[in-house]
Amino acid sequence: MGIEVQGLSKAFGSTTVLKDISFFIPRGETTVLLGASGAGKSTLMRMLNLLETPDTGTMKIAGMNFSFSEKTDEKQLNKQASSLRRKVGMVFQQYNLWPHMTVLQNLIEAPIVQGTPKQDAIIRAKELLDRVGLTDKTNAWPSSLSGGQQQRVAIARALMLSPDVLLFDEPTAALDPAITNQVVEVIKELSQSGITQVVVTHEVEFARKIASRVIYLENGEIVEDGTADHFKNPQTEAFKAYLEH
Amino acid sequence: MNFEAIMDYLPQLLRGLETTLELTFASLFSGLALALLFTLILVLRFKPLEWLVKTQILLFTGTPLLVQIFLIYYGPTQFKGLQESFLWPLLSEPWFCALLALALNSAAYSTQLFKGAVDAVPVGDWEAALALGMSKRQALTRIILPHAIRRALPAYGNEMILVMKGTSLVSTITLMDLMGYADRLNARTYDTLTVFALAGLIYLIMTGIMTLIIRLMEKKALAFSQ
Repeated sequence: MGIEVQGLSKAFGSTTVLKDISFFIPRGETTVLLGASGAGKSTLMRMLNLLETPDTGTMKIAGMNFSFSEKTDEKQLNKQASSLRRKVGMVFQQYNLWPHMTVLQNLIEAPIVQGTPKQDAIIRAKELLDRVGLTDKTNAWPSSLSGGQQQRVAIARALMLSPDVLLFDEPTAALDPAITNQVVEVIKELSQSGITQVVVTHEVEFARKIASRVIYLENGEIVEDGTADHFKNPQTEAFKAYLEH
Repeated sequence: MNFEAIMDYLPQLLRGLETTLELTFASLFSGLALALLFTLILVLRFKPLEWLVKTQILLFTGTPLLVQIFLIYYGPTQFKGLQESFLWPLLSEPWFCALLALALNSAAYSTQLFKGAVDAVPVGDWEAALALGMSKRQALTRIILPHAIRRALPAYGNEMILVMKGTSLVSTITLMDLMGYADRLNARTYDTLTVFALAGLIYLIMTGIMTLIIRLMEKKALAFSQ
């Protein structure tokens, strides 16, 4: 069980963002989606938890199967999307912590909505905050945290639901380079735990440090797809050029 | 204006305070409950209800409160059907009609405030909630509304004060609130300046107290952004 997509396409109006995307990501891999801005990598990742709905194609992820066409029933899909998203966590570029809730409240809210007893959620939240090194920030407001700390809270919040897959949208874009290494550490530690990770980035150095697989996109199409060896031996001129720029 | 007259008038005016305060808080409470419901309807776009709410807002923000009070109090007597219905004991009661007008008026303005605040919540708040498996309704009631209401609190504080001052219109439908007693006292003494200056002062003090309470609430509710 990994992530398998076949023939995914998406257009916004007359602009095609993704064309006939197919790939397979084995379980437990950390895959980097690389590409210039506008290549479609963020849209592709947002499809993996259905924040975007593909126009066509099929998708197998976290044990669920989806098939998209013009006839896709949106209500039905929304219901499935909620259960999918409990297994496919996401960490946003701007972290998107809820500013009016403390760090602890940010972590326990989703599990409580889904029926976890509050006491159990608090215990798990404290474990995760300990794991990301933020025990002393349990009752802090997000606005009082640095960018790197906010991101670790966002990661802990996504882990509260014990997802099978974790998606990262440009996790280093809003951080200064010194903090980037902390993110590398967290992602590496998570990959040890067997969780499948998909990371969107346009930073080659960061990608090299974390990736076990790489998918390179240009203009909404997959140009290169393979193991981390491709960083050393790019198979296409386009990917080679992107690595060297 | 002399001191003896003031001491004579003050207790008479204060007899209206109870009605003023009761009406203020009852209207604010019902108005708030309605406004939250209306906001949910607008944000989740429940089709037929959405149009009803929009019409309600148009009517109650587009006409003067005094007109609304008159229409709700005097209007139903024109309809024989209403006079015979179970609603009549309520609709013939000026206190209830005043409450209804003030609550609906406040609900219309508060809904606009809350809807605006919900629209101003960053889209990232929504996405984070959805990405954690919440439905749109759960995201709205558990995350977005609590955030929006905190942001709307300073503006809602003004609305609370407007409702309190708005209750002064209910003396026109025979209710003896603070303004009702001031009217009666003025008719008896013709000491217009003293009577209404005193009434104004009492309103001013109430506004001051409410402002202080609202500030305290703001400080607590907006602690996250300081």
